[in-house]
Amino acid sequence: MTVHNNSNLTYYVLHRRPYRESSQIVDLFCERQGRFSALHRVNKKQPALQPFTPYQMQFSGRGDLKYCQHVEIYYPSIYSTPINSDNTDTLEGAANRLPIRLPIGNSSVKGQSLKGRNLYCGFYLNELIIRLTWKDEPQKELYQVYQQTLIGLLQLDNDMQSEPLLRRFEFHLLAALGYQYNWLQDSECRDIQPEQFYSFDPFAGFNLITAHTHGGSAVQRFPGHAILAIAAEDWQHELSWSVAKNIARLALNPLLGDKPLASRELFKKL
Amino acid sequence: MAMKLPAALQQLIDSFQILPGVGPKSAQRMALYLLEKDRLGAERLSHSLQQAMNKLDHCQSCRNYAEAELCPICSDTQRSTDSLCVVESPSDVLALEQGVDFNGQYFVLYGHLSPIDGIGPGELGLAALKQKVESLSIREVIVATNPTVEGEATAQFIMDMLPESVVVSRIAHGIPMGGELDLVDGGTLNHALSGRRVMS
Repeated sequence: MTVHNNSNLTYYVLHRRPYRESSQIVDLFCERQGRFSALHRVNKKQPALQPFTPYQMQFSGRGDLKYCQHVEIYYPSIYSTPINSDNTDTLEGAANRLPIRLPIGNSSVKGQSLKGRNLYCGFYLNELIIRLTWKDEPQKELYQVYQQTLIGLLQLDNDMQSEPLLRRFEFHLLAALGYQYNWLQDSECRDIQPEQFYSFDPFAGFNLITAHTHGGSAVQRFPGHAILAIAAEDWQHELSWSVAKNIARLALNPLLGDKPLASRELFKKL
Repeated sequence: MAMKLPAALQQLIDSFQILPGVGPKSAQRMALYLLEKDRLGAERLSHSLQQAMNKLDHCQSCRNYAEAELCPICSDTQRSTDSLCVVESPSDVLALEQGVDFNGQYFVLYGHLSPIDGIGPGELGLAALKQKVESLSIREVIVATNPTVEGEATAQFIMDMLPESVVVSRIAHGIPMGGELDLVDGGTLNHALSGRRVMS
């Protein structure tokens, strides 16, 4: 039996489903391996693995599906000395040029669990990762953003504030999937003008709407000043929230296909 | 090569294997035991199985198992309609009935919200819960779903869906009776600390 010692990695559970009598197949997320599956033996006397909690664990077994062993909850230091808006640029590579700063405070959230509607947000993040990322593909940046988003959600007391956090995650996820948008220039490399209106093409970015290219009534029109506000991470006006949300949806929809996101149902009231 | 068994015996062994925790070996043991040692008991078992499958359905009011339209708890007029306890499974009702002195109503969800698995408000009968709370003018809804993230999300959804006039409470989480503090995980400790009570 081989035991793989990845003791410095922290894993999050994205989803778990029962397997045989006393095991679960867990979908895990870590920076080195991205999303992958493993088996976990359920011991009724111990709490089951929970989503949104950071774990350290080791893996044993020869087959493709390894068993999680020595599972322990482990809070990395980021939970007690959280990121603030100034050091989000520790994210490496291109993704750090994405807009949307982390609008969170500085309180320690070690040991806390997501509450209220922020739980729905957590399910939403997990569903997006499961639906859109490839298995066994390293996701260093996305993992960091996921962790920061969870910490941000833990720090929020008002669930309305979760919107910019979710948008930030969505745009980073899109970047990780190869869709990175230019928020300062349109698809023809002209600067976005505050007084103009733009349409959004998930594969090309922003297109200026002119008298010739209004494209019919079905096209959503986004004011240039709202796009620039998002680029400048200015979340004061609700307009930028709704514009960011609509753009994120337009970008995600072709990737999600016909099957709607189940976690969005939770946000609808019965 | 596997030995050829009489078809009826093979079928009996196969049938036992649908039970949780029963593999081919134990299924074979059970089948042979009934044949050799307790044919009368086997008759009873087959009769009870038949009866249960024919007669038991979900209670119209709480979704627990019932022979009639209402289960014995829902048809008991002595029970209070002040409070209602929401649980994930019929075994939770049994645990509460056997373990504590709760004299109110129940509602069984048969699971918890789990969007990725396609279990949403509809699958849990939450519309029926809302209707029950309203028609019985229930004052307090105690959400006793398991302390998992899905159980918490379910509790939150129930709170959001019920009118503000209804008090929605959540069962306490913390250190189990007879447990030891240093063996308890961080999440539970956190719940126990944040849900602490002043002694007086």
